[in-house]
Amino acid sequence: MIWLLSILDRYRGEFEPDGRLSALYPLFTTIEHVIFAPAAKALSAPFIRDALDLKRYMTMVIVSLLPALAASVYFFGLRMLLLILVSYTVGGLAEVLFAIIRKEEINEGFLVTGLIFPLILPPAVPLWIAGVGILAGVVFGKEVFGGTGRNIFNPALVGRLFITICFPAIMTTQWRVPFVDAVTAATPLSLFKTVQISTPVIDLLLGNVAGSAGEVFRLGIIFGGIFLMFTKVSNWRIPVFYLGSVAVFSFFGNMFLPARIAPPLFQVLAGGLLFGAMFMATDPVTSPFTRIGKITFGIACGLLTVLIRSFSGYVEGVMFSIVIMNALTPLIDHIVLHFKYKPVAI
Amino acid sequence: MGLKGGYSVPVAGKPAREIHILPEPECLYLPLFSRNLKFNQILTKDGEKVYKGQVLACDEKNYSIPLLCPCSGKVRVHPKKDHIVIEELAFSNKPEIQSESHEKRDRLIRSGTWHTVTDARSGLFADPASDPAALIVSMLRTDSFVADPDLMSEKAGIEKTIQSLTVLHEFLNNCPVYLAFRKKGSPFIRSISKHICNLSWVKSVPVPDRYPFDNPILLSRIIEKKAGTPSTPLLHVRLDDAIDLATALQTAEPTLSRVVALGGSAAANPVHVQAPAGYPVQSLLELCKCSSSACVINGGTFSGYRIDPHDQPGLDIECRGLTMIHDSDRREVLPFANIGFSRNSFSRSFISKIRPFFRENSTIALRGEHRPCVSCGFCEQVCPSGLLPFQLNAFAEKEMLEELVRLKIDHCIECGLCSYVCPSKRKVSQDLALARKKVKEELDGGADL
Repeated sequence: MIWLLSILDRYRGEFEPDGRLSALYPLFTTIEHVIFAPAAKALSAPFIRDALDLKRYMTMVIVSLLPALAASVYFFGLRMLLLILVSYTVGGLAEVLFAIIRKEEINEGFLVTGLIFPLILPPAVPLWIAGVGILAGVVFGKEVFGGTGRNIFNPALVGRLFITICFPAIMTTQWRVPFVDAVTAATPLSLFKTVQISTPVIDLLLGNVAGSAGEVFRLGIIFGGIFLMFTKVSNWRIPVFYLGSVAVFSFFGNMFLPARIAPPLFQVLAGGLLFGAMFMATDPVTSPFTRIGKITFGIACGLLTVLIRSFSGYVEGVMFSIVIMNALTPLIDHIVLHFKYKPVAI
Repeated sequence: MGLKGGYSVPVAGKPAREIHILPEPECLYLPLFSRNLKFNQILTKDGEKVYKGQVLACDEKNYSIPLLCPCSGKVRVHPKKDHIVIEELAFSNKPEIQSESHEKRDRLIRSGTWHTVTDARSGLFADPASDPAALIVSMLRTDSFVADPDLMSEKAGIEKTIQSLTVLHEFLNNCPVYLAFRKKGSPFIRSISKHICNLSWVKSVPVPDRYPFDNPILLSRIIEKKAGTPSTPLLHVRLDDAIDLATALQTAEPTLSRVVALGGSAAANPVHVQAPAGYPVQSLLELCKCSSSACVINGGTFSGYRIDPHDQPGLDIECRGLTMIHDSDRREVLPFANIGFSRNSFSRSFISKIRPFFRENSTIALRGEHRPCVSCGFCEQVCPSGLLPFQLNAFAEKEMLEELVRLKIDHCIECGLCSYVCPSKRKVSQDLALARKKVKEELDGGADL
């Protein structure tokens, strides 16, 4: 591959800060660093560095999403790949534009956002709406706050919220059962809300039900989530306490209000809860960094999810509960640190 | 003991546990500086004939710690005044100048080992005139390419080790001795533990075998938790230096050479050697067959600093190990897609984690690009002092200095693990050191926190 490196070296001068195409320098370094490891060296202690870098970090998340992705293509056809392409292209263009204007390098956080976003949309959503959604998510959810590492809300969820508010009919009527293209179907959660039908567990796990593209193959999501927790890329406290609190609250709720609050096993497996708990709530930038904060975040998300699912007009509460708790994350951390570290007299 | 944090990096190139005999050098290049010492008071001149054990220079700012002559010969002071070269070496066994004074402070200074004794709470040099509350003797070495203290003591034997501890205990006004060793000890450590059970003034402190639990400041915190807070100084010394110090006190002959480890991924033949200060670095590099494109580090991978053999041709007095790491310009293809048989990580993201006995062949490559902090929390998980480095750096950027003091920034021991583990390749540890300095200057007017 030395020939590739020599080609890159030949054109590097054009893209350097004093060259002709210096505005496109972020794009050049991104392409270069995808193919070749960066040439930077550790010039002060510690002299050896851990092998994990942010590209690998995001690659691990993408690897854990592959079962859900493969299942979505299997169930809903190759159109899913087209949706993902649209999401990466439109969102990628927005990222590149902001990187060029800011004169910073393009950050890898978008690789995960661009993959998660199509997986939480209904499978029959029109392509242009998916494009609008990812643009809104990247711009309003991440870039206006300063880019990767500085955002308050999960960008994929902001995009989905934007679509839910702007195109409400799409989000309620474009659900399809796998393999059947032209017929709209009700999701398990809406079936429970309207006619109290509880879908069998095996159907929920293997994906024979209607739902958003990535959430149907729940067995794959569980394996992906456990893989992510094992590699320490996501912290185990958030999924465990989120799912646990949903189970506990729905257990007690089902005892007192069986018509409104679904039983615990159904509640945990139905809807986007598993996907949200494993991949979206665990986003390290938007969730608390203190251990107690993570536990509080998980439990509060669980409570909000059960409340919104059972007592509001919406069928699915995961998206709202995660976004609301994202807004409260800095406060949770502030309170935990306030109690852990007492103020000192200077 | 429930000690959190710390991480031992599995690296290849650790030296074998034998001490290699060095050939006699042609001349010695004594640096007039070392990591923390600066010998500004030169007591010899060009052309003077010096004897083994003679004081050549001393550091006035640090209790007049002397630079002793390791071998008789003729002096040539380097024009830049940063090295003393000793030529026409005459090797003999006994030092020809003996120290005259019987005062406790002078005997400690003249032993040639006092610079290895540190004040455990501050990490700086200890005051020889002080009356310590306790002495921490450490058998630990957690930074990979620094000489192991129990290697030398194993050679000396258990009897000599216990005798040295007794000598120091009596010399320092019968202060208690805390012996810190690895929890999962070797047979030598186990037999030492058995012997010290009978002694009332020695207490054993088992410590996890992770970097940086050999740091004197961390050890002092562990011991103060065990024993309450003494009000007088707490001294720290490695076991091999303790044996040397005791020998020097008993026989009045200063210690002039010590065990140095030579290792690293670029050393084809990693060894331990017994070397005097000033031994030519180039011949040591040739001895361990270091590759020519290696980065030479004085100290371990975490605690060392880079040296150029042309600027520092001889070993300095504080050096305990030379680390040689590959510095190649070869760039890997698609590194993030690598399954990872040849890489290891704190995060378990590579196949190497499930492969036993894996030792990575490391380079000094940064292995990633500089990115914004994503609050992944690895720096917090790995911090041995229980700090939140990424949060402290965020506060430092916003100049919230009271918050920094509240979050205990003064507990930082600058081990470098936060920089090691950061996936965004940020210089966390360096920024934290700058923040600490700023806090000291602004809030305390220069006084210690």
